[in-house]
Amino acid sequence: MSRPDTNAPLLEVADFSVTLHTPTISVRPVDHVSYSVNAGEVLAIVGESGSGKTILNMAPLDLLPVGVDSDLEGAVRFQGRDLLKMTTGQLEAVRGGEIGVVFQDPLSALNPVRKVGRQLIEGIERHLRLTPAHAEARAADLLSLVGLPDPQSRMQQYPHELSGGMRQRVGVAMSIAGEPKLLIADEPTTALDVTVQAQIVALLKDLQKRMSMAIVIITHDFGVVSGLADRVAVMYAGRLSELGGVHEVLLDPAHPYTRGLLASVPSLSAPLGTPFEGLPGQPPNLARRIDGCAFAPRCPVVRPSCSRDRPPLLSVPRSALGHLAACPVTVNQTA
Amino acid sequence: MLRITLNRAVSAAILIVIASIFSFILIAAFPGNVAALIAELRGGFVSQEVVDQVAEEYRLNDPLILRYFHWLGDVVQGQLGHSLRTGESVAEALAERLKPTAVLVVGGSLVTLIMGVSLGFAGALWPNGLADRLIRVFAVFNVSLPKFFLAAMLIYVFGVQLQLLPTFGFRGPASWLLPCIAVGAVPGALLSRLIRVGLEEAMAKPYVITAKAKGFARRRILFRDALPNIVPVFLTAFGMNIAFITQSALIIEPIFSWNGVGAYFVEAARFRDLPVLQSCLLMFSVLFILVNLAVDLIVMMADPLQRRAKRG
Amino acid sequence: MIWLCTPLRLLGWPTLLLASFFAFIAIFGAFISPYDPARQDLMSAMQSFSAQHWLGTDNLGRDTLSRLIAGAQTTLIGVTTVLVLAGTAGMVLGTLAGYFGGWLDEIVMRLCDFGFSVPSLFVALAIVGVFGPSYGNMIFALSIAWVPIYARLTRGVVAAAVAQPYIESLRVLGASPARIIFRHLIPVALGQVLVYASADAGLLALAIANLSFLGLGVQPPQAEWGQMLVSAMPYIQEAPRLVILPGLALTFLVIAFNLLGERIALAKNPRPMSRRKLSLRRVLFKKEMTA
Repeated sequence: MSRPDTNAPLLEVADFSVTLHTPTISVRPVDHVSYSVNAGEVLAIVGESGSGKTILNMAPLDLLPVGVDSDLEGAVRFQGRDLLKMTTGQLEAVRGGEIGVVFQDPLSALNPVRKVGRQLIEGIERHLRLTPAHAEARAADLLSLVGLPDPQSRMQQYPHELSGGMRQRVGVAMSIAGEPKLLIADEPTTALDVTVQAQIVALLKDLQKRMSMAIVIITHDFGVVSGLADRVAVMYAGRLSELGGVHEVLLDPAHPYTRGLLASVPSLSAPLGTPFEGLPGQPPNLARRIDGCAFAPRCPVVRPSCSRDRPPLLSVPRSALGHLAACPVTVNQTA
Repeated sequence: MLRITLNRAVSAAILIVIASIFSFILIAAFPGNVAALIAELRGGFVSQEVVDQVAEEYRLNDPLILRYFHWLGDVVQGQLGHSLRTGESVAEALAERLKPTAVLVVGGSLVTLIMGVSLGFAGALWPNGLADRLIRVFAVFNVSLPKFFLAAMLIYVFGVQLQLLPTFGFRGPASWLLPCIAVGAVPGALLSRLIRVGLEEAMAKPYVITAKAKGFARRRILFRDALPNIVPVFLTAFGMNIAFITQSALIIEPIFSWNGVGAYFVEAARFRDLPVLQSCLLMFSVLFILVNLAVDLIVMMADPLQRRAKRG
Repeated sequence: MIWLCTPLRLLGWPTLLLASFFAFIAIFGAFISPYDPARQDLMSAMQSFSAQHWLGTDNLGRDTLSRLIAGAQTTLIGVTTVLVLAGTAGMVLGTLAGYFGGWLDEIVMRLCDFGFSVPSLFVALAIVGVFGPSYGNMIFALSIAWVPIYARLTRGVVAAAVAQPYIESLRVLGASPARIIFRHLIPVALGQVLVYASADAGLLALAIANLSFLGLGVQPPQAEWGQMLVSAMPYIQEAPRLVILPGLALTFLVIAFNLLGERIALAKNPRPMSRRKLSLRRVLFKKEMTA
């Protein structure tokens, strides 16, 4: 980044790769991925399970599970500073304070033997440096903000005494306690009932406007994407296959994988008896080298050159600026 | 919670009944003629009348159930019979021999606690470091070390070669050191491993990642988040330790020639001293059942997951 | 590149070495033993390490090495016997309790609770005390003391399995209880039991030695390490090796058992790799990715 200006992206992921080693296997779940997120913007990262979307976001913050050795290549810059080059101390200051995280399963994300209030207040104390009394008041405010009635009682309770939706609200509260500029939400609605899902999405939208936060939301649910996101990134086999504004990607997808994904979502308005459409085949094994395009074996418009050279992200000319897809075949098609 | 407490108390009571039945049946299962054995041990001429007399005296011809209740009645009144070997009152002998065993159990538990906690936490704070690896090797070795071997070695090094500490008899605090170490070292290694593994598992849980995501350092997470999660396990293990240590007393007391309850039990087993065996077994069983009950209740009170008083 | 789990990788070479060493002794002991362990030769009593008696002789002139080997066999056979007996009885009780539930389950569980509250040595000691000290009685006593663990373990596994839908569907399909038990429940339970037994074997070996040490287990002239140690205690000053050698032998056997059990547990909770392994893995993976 040469010039410091307010239009510089908040988060810049540059040619980022992650290799994981466990005693039994080595894999590469993130393979040369690049994108950026601006301040106040909502980016949705979609993909199937195992596409690498979670690791993509957790690895730069060193939040991978225990027992896994990771190699990180490339750069992930937050406000100009490369997270990959930070010391543990520096990362600890960023985590919670500048970047907040909401996890998928609120029951396991919360410590079962400590009171909810305690877990919330400690985050506030750490990053906002308030007196205990102020911190407690702030915690109560936060709980009201996320829509929990009677915050004082809630704070005295243990996680298992709350419902799933309430727990996730607490999780959201914990993630914004430090007033972060970027919130990473890892499938925050997947573990919840459908009605509660809608509430959480609305909550995130509300918070985002209020606090001018940027959000990176990881999900496989297109309903959530259309309700919340400004831009969408589609991951497949650890690679970015499409990137663009939410309208463009959802209404006029360029990459065959995205098209297949969208087509496979059942529609309420389709006539009864319409057969389900799925994608044939399986995602590739990330422990092995992949030559050419990762989607080639399953692609309906595959050409011989696809299996040779890995396609770069190309601009889609017919679409808005910033709509990119990694498919030389479909990119130049018209509508 | 009161309901659960009552529940556990009732279970404990049932266990005590089972213990009494077991102790009784075991002795009643003695192959051979008890009356003849007793008559023999009493010395003097053994004839059929003497044997019959003894049988009458000990109600050996009554139906089993009747004998059981008679015995139970005696026990509740503190009448534990007389040793077949020495003739002395079992109840009196037990009371006398309680002190050495108590010293051993308390002292051994202290050794276990100190060793287990310090090593366990050291291993968790610096994982895979030199300390941790040493602890693991030490733990494996210590856990495998037979207590009597450890005791023998301690005696050899400190008693025979260095002549530092007394090894014979229950005399003064200096003589307490070696037996307590012999008793507490192995459970100490076990406890340290339990604590370290428990902390390790707790640190692998998702809420630790949450804590990391909030920006906390590892050491703080260890003490604030992981530690409270292992408290119930630790308490349960420590409770079980008491049973383990008491069991070691059976072996350690004879080695150091301490006149404790453990040594008493062993001698009784050697000499087929049935009344002593019966009383000791019953006493120990009741003791362990009660200790387990106490530990259960304490663990329940310490673990928020078990407290169901609050409403959501 | 996926690493295969060969036994060596799974167990690690120290474990495999120790385990095979003891297995070898157990099977071929009689052939490699230089002397008859019971043979007394008072002329050469209390000899230290020498060419004829590698590990010396004891107070009755018996060759220490041969006695140690015989002791290994005694212990290993004892451990196996008790595990088989207790394991089988425990599995039977546990399976019946877990499958049929109800009052049968209640009774079995209560008995197990009692078995758990009182440490095994007490029960074993009491049983041997009543029936008299001998090798057979010791095996009998230990088997009884060890049944509750396996009964409880099996019952847990079976009860959890029975709650699963696939058992229900088997019943609906008309499978008889016997078939369900033998074809589906027991294999699962057996797996768990074997894993536990491997870790338990160490404790059992210690228990055998403890009882023999107290004079209530293996009786002389049959050789057993605990018993050897206690007979050597009076001579601890003049011939400490007579105490140290059996003790070390027992320690190493228990270490072997414990390592076995620990390795199996490690297979379930993998640890991060050592630096050396990691760099090797990095190089290999890179080659795969760029070749």
